[in-house]
Amino acid sequence: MSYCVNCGVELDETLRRCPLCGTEVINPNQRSAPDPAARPFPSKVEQLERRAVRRFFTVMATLMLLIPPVVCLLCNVLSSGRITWSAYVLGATAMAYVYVLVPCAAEHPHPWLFLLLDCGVTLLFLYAIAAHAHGDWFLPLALPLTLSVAVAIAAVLLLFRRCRALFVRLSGLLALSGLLCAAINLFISLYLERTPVLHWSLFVLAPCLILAAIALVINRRVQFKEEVRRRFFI
Amino acid sequence: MSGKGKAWMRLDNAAKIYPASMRRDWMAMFRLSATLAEPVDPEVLSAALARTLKRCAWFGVRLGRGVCWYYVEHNDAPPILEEDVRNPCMPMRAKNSRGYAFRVRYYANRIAVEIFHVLTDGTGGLWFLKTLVAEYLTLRYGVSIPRGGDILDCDAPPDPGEMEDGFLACAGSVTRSRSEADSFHLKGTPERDGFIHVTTGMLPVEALKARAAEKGVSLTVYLTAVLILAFDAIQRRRHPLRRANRLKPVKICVPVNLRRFFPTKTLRNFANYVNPGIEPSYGVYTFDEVLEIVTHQMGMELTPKVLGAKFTTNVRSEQNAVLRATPLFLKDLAMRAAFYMTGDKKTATCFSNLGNATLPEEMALFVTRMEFMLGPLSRNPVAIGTLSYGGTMYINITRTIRESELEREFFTRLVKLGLPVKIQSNER
Repeated sequence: MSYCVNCGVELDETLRRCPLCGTEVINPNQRSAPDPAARPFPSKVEQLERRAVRRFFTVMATLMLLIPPVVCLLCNVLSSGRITWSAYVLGATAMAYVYVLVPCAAEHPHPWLFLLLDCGVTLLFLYAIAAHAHGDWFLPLALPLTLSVAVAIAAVLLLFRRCRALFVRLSGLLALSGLLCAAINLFISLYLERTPVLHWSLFVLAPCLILAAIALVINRRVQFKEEVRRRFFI
Repeated sequence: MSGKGKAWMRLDNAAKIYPASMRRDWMAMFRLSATLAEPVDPEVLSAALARTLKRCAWFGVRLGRGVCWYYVEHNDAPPILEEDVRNPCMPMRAKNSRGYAFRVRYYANRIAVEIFHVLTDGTGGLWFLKTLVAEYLTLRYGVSIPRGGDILDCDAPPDPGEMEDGFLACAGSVTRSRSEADSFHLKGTPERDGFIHVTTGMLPVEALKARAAEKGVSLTVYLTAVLILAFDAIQRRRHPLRRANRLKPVKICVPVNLRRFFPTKTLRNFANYVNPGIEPSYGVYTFDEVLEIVTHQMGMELTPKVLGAKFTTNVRSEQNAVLRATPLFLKDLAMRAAFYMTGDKKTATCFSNLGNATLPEEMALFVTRMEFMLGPLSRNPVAIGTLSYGGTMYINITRTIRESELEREFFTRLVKLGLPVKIQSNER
């Protein structure tokens, strides 16, 4: 009969450590090792069922997703003898695949990796279109716009990981939406008018920032917050 | 059960949420076990199980998906007997259990029944286990055990009253709001492989009764108060810099057996709950204060009027014509969302005390120990189930995280209150 020196509870003869605090059981009077048959549970451990369904879904979806690009490719090649417009379909399908199916197939969520991957394929697709159509808009417009959206998503991710409070999250979301609009406006005006001017986005940015401030103030008022929760309880 | 062909039943009102909310890694399970004086003979147990299933017809079923609702239908397949495992109450798959929503396991001297909550609640499960053990003892040793009370006679046909939906039968007309504040929750490192830690604390019932009697409260109130203070201490330790008004309420879900309050013979789900707790932002509570709070909160809630109004709310929402006609996949989504938002969020854990299990003398000679264990909860990492038998109270704490902070806090508090606690565990 041993007691845990740390917790004061009596420990079962089969225990080598206290299950409550991890302290090792050292009993000089108990020389022989405990009989494994006397343990309250057997050694066999039941395993959780594996995520077979997820894998199956991914394979099925991959095969289904092959239908539109293959049909388009055939249609394009058979009618004009070479690949022209179907390249866009192929690119868009590849992008959709990376967006949706890679996270589905992954065993564990890796949001940063997915974001990086999504940003990469989007830029690649846009660059391919720009190069194909001989457009000059990739560097001044597509690149900064895509990166601004990616930065905004990264900020949301960080916000949701760091902050648990509902109203802080809301405040962050509002401020980020306003800033994203301003960034979009800025890059478009830079591209079209060659000068960085904010027009329409000011009307979005100002209310967003004020609402964000209001949300932060509400976050400090516990009672009011509770009232909002109660009224909008679903 | 009704209709021609394969007999089937609707799920009872409380059971409806369980199939909708189950996940790959979680199902609402609980386990009851009886330890005998001698090793269990699997062949005899298998025969006893077959006989028990004939009598307890609501156990011999398979869960099915209808267009609008889940249902259970009669299952002819012979039930499987399994060897016990180290981590009990893991989610079960119908294909591994021949469609049954429960499993019987044995290890050395112990017979254990793990039940998916869709079939019944703890009380119904205890009736099943007692009947199964009585049947086993009769077949194995030829003991004549008096049937009646909570040990069913397997030679008699099933009583339809045992299969009624007690909620429907006893629902009133007035409903009650379910909204309440969220509780503090324990957080920790989840076990990657879903291993479930079980810590069993054993303490003498008489000593516990004496302590509770000193304070003039029941055993459940006494232990709930200790548990609330344990959670309160953990919250204050984990968030030392949190402003007092940011501390979350600490509430414990205490299931209530409604059969004590309503006239029904049902052996399917018929339980409700009360959520006694404290508001730590108001200050630091003494043990006596918490005892008083819990006594009064339970006193206010544990009346047939309040309990009736509480479950009538659930029954009414089930009876809404539009909801009833909604396809099951939409209902699944809605119920999942509702379960996520209102279920475990409101309490820090579930503390289910099944009370004192008594057996007729003929049976008690062969049974040395009986236990009740709750499977893990959906969002809360710890759950507590207790049952007293033969003068000992067995407190089983199941945990899905690595940190054993709550067990330590709870059991050391009992030790400090002068109660001798013996610990067993399934640690790897």
